[in-house]
Amino acid sequence: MSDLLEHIAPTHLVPEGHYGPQGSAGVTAHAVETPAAATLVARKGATARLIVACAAAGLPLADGPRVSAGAGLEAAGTAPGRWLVLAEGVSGADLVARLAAMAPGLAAITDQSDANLILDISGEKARAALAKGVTVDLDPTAFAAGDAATTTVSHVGVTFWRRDADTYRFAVGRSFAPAFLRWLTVSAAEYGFALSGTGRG
Amino acid sequence: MRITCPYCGARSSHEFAYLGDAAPTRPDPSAPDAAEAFHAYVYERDNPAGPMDELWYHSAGCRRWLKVTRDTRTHAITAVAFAGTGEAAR
Amino acid sequence: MTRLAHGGLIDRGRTLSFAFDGKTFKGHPGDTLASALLANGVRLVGRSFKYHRPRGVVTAGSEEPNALVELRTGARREPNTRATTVELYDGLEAASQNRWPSLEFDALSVNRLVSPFLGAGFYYKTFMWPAAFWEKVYEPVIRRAAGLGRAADTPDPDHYEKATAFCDVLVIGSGAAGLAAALAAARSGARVILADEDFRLGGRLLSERTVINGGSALDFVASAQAELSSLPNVRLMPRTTVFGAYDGSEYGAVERVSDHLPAPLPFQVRQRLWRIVAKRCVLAAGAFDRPIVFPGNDRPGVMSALALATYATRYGAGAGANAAVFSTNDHAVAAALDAAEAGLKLDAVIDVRPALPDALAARAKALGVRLITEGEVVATSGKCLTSITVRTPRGSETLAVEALGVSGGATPNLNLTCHLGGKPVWREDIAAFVPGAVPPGMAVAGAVAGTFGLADILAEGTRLGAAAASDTGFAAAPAPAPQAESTPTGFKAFFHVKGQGTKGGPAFVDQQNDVTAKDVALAHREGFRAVELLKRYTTLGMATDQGKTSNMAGLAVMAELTGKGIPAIGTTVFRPPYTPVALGVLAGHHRGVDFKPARPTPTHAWAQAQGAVFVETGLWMRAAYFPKADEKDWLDSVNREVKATRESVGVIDVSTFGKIDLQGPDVGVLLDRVYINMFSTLAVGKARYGVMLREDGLVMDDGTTARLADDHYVMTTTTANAAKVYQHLEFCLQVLWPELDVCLASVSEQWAQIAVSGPRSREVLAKIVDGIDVSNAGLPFMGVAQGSVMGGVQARIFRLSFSGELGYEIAVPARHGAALMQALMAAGAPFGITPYGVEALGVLRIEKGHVSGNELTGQTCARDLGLGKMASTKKDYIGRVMAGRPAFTDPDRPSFVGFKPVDRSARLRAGAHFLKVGAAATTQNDEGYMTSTAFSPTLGHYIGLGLLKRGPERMGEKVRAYDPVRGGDIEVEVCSPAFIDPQGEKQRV
Ligand SMILES: [Zn+2]
Repeated sequence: MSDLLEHIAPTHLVPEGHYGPQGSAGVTAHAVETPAAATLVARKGATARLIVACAAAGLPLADGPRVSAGAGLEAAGTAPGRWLVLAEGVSGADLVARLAAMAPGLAAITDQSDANLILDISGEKARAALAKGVTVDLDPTAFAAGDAATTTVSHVGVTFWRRDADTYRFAVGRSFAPAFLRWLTVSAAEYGFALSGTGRG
Repeated sequence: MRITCPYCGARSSHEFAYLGDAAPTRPDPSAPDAAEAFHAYVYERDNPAGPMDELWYHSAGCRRWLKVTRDTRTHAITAVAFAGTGEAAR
Repeated sequence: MTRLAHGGLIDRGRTLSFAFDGKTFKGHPGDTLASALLANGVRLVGRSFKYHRPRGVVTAGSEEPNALVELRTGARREPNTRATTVELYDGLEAASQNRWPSLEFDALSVNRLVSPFLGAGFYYKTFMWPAAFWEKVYEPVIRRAAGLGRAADTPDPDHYEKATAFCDVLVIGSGAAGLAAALAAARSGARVILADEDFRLGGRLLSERTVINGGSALDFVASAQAELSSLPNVRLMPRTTVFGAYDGSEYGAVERVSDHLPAPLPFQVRQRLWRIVAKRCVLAAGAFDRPIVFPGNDRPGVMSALALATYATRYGAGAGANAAVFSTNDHAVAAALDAAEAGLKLDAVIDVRPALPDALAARAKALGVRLITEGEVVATSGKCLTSITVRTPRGSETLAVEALGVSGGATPNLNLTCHLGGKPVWREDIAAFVPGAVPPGMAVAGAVAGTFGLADILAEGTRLGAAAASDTGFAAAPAPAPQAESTPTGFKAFFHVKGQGTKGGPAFVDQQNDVTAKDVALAHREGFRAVELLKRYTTLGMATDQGKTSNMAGLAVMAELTGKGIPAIGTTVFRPPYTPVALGVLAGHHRGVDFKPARPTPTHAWAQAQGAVFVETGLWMRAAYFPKADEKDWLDSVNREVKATRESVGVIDVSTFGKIDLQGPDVGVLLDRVYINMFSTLAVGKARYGVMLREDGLVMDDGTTARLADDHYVMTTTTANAAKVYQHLEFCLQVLWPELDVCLASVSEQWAQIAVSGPRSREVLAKIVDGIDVSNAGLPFMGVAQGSVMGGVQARIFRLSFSGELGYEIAVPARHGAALMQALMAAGAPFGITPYGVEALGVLRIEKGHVSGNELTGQTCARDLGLGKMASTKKDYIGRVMAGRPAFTDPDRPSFVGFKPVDRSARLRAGAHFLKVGAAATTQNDEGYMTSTAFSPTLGHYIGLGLLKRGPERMGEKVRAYDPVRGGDIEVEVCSPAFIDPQGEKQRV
C-alpha cells in the first residue's frame, strides 16, 4: 500500500484533491456528476435494424468497440449488438424511454444510471499513468479518439473510451470505484494528480 | 499470452476464462442412450497434441464465448471466432 | 588504492562515500559497488556457499556468481545483491554474506577441511540416517554453514507497480548489435523499445577501444543514443532487465527505477514490472566470458579477463596493483591490451595457443606486455591472489600478480531463447552453444548468435533490426550499417587445465554452488553422467546465477571424462527469470489492503456510522454484526439481532446478491432449461425460488427470479456465484441455444437491495411506499410490486423470506440505497427496528433450514439438499440426465437434515462427521457431516444442518457428531432442518 492512501479507507472513494509533487498536474481525473446510463442490447437478429433506427433518430451507432455521439447521447460499443449509452441532464427513466422510442421492439434497454462511476481522465501524462493498469495498447495509432474498450484495470472491470485527443472516459462499477481510484491515485501521483468530483472524504 | 477477440481485438489471456474442448455438443436429452451420451459429453475428452478448437469466454471484455484454435504444444493461436453459430452479431 | 590515474566513465569530479562491512570508502558516480571496491583495493568480498572459501568479484555484470552482498539496512535490506550491478550512490551500505564471525576470519572455512564429506551428492549420502538427526543436528548446522544472505525482517517500505508497453520491435541489449538493430528499426518508423539491464547504454562498447564510423566506440554510442532519444517512436529503457519471454510475444521486464538511490524519491516506485507486448524482438544479449577450470581458480583476484578489462577501461579501476591474463582467444587479449592502455599494469598475457595474430603481438610488445604462448595457469596462491604458476612446454615459472583475468572464450547469452522450450545447438566452429529454436518473432543478433567480429555484429544488428521492422509493416529504406574494422576472433577451444591432480588446490566449475571438477568426476564415476543428472547430483548451475558462466565448464569436464564430446552431453535449458526478480515487484500495487478490491455496499458508510464490524465475503465488505456498548462479545450482538428480527423487525443490506436482467420473448424457455423447476408458467408480478444445476447434475446455484413483465424477468444469484451464473447463461445463449431471443444485463451494481424481516416489517414498509398496496392481499407471499418509495424513488418490492418471517426485499437505484436504509430505520423506530449483519442472517437461515454456501459445495445434488421434489418432470433442463445417475439417486447418499445436541448445552461445530452411536471412528463408518451450525437464540441451544446417510428417514435417531480436530465428540438428535415454523406460516401472514 502506498503512504498516499494510508489514511483513506479502502471502501471509500479517494477524496478530491491534489496528489503527488506540488505544481501542475500531469494527470487530472474528474468524476462526472451522475449522467444517466443504460445498456442497449439488440434483440436476436435485430442489430442492423437497430443501427438504422438509431441513426434515423440522430444517434449513429457502430457495431464495434467505438464510441459515437448524437441526439445528446453518447454510445460506446461493449459487445456485438451492445452499447453503453450515456446522457447528461436527464433521468435514467427518461433515457430508457427515449431509447425505447428510438428503436421500438428492437432492443432490450436497461437502466444503469446508478451502476457506474463515470470518470474523465486527461492530462499530458494520462497515457503513462493508465499504462500502469490498462493492458490495451493506448498509442494513438492503436487507440484513437472514438475507440472504446471493455477490459480490466488492476482487477477491476471497466469500459472506457477516448472521447477526444485529450480525454479518456471510464465507466467503473460502483462498488469497484474505490479500488479503481486507489490504483489511479498511486499510479498518477508521480506526475502530479488532480482529482475532483469525488467529495471531500 | 494474447488472444485476439473478434470484437475487442488483441487482449491479454488474463481477460478470458477457459472451458475446454469445443467439439462436444450437448446430446439429445430424449434419446434412448441419453445417459451414456451425457456421460461422454460431460467427462470424456481427447487430449490432442496439436491444434485444438477450444471454448474461451471473454469474461473481462465483451462476454462472448469464443472458439479459439490453439496448438496445445506451442500455444500458438491460429484462429478465433465467435462460438455457437459462429455469427458475430445478435 | 588501485584507482587508475585517469580515464573511465566515472565522474571523478564528484566523490561518493559508501560503507562495506562497516568500513568507509570513496567512489565516484558511474561506479558500481564492485568497481568501487576494486578501486579501493578490496578484493575479498564474500565467503562461498558451502566451503566458506574467500571469494572476490569475478565478472562485471549480472552473471556474477560470487560478489553477492546484503545491500542497505533495516527494512530495505536486500540479500544476494550482485555488487557488479549495484550503482554506487552516496551513503550506500553493504555487507558481505555467509561469513561468521567476520569476512577476514571465517570459523566455518574449516568446512574446507572436511570437504571430502561435502562433495557431490553429500545431501543424499550423509543425511540418510538416523532420521531424527535431520531436524536436531544436520539442518541447524547446514542452516548456519550454508545459505546466502538475510532478508529484511520488517515490511518493505517501498512501492512497486506494474505497467504494460507495446511495440513493434523490442531490442534487448544495447551493445553494438542492439544499437544497430534499434537504429535500423527506429529509422523505419516502427515503435521500438530498447531495453538494457545496465544503467548506461552501450554494452561492451563502453569497455573497448574500437573504431566505428571513423570515431571512437563511445562516440558511436553517444550519437546512437542521441538519435534514438530524439525519435518519438522509441522508448529507451536502461536499468531494465528483460527476464522472461512468454507466449504470444510477451516479455517480462523489471525496471529498477530507484535502486540507484538511497531511497525512492517521493511518489516514485522502487521497481516497475513491465509486460512488454512486442510484435518482433531482436535479442542482442551478447556473450559471457567463459571461465577456465584450473587449480585455485576461485581465489579473490582471479576474474574474467573481459571483466578485468572493463574495470580498467570503463571504471578506471585496477583489479590489482598488477595483473596477468590467461586466455584462449583474440578478443580477451585485445581487451587486456585495452586495459593496459587505460593504465592497468599488465605484466603478462598467457595464452594457450602457440602464437597470436601479428597485430596483437605487436600491440603487446609496444605496451611492454610479455606474451607467454602455449601457457597454462596451473596454480595460484595467497588468500587474495599474490602469485600464479604458469606451465609451458618450456618449463614452469611463478609470476607475482594481484589480479588474473581469465578467458576461455565466449558463451552466448542465450537464456531468453530457451524460455519457450528452445534448445541450444552446438557449433563446433566456435566451440559454443548458440540459440536453436527461438521464440516466435525473435531474432538473435551479435555475440548471442555466435557472431563475434565487430563489423559483422553491426551488420547483423542492422539487418535484423530492419527485417523486424519490415515484418511489422515498416519497410525501411536500406540504411548502411555502422562501419567498423573487423576485430580479430581467433581462438582455441580450451576449457580445463589437466594433469595437476589435486596439486594447486581445488579447481572450481561452479563458484556460486561450490562445485569442483572433482565433484563432476565423482558424478561421472557414480553414473550421473547425463546433463540433467549431473546438474541435480552436483547442484552445478542450480544457484541464483543459473550457471550462466559455469554450465559450459561443467559440460566440458564431463565431456572429457566420457570422451564423447560436449554435444553428446547436451545442455540444460534456461527458464525465467533471467536474473532473480523480487517478489514485491511481482505483487505491484496489490499488497496489504490493496491485495484485492474491497467492494462496499451502498449502505457501507451508514453501517460504519452504526459501528458495524465488517467481514470480507468474496470481494465485498459486509456488516457482520452491529455491536452495542453493553455487549460482551459478538454472540451477544448476534443473538440480539436475531431476536429482534423474530420478535419485531430487522433490516439488512442484501445488495451483494447477483442480479441479472433478462428480456426477450424466450426468457421463460431459457429459465425452464437452466432451473430444475418451471419459470415459464410464473405469473407476471410473482417471484419463485429456483435451483440450477451444472450439466453433471450437481447444484450450481440457487436464488429467486421474478417476472416483471411478460418478456422481462430479473434473477438473483448468490453473492459468490454472480459472475459464474452470468457466464453460464451466456454459454446457454451463445453456445447451446443461440436461437433463443434473450438479452442479458447485469444489474448487480445498479440496484441497492435491502431486506426487511419480521412480524412488523409490513408496518415499516407501509410507511415508506408511495401508495403501493402492501397488504397480504395486495402483495402476497412471493409477490412483486413495482412503484416508488420515499416520495418518488423508483422501487421494486419483492415479498420474500430468507429468515422464515414475514419479509420484503426493497430494491432502489443504488444512489438511494443509504437513504432507503435511513428511511426504513426511521419508519421502524417505533418497533425497535434492528439492523443485522451476515452473522445473524446465517443464524436466521439455519433456524429456517435454508441451504446456503456451506451446502452448495459443488458436491451436492438437489436430492441431497431435500430439493429433489422441486424438479419438474415435464421438461428437460441442464443437469437433469446426469442427476439421474444411480450414484445420485442412491438412498444411502447423505441427505439434508437438522441436528440438535442431546445435551442441549453442548456446542455443535460444522465439519463434524456423523457416526452411528457406538460405531468406531473409521472412514468406513462415516455417515456424512455437519455443514452449518449456529447458536439459536430462538431455541436457546445450538442447532445444526448437515448431510446424513438416509437422513430424512432417521428423524429422532441419535447419532454421534465426531470432530477429532477440535476434540468434539457428542451425541446429536436428527430432526427436520426447519427448526422454526416448519409449515411456513409466518412468512405468509
Ligand atoms: Zn471480446
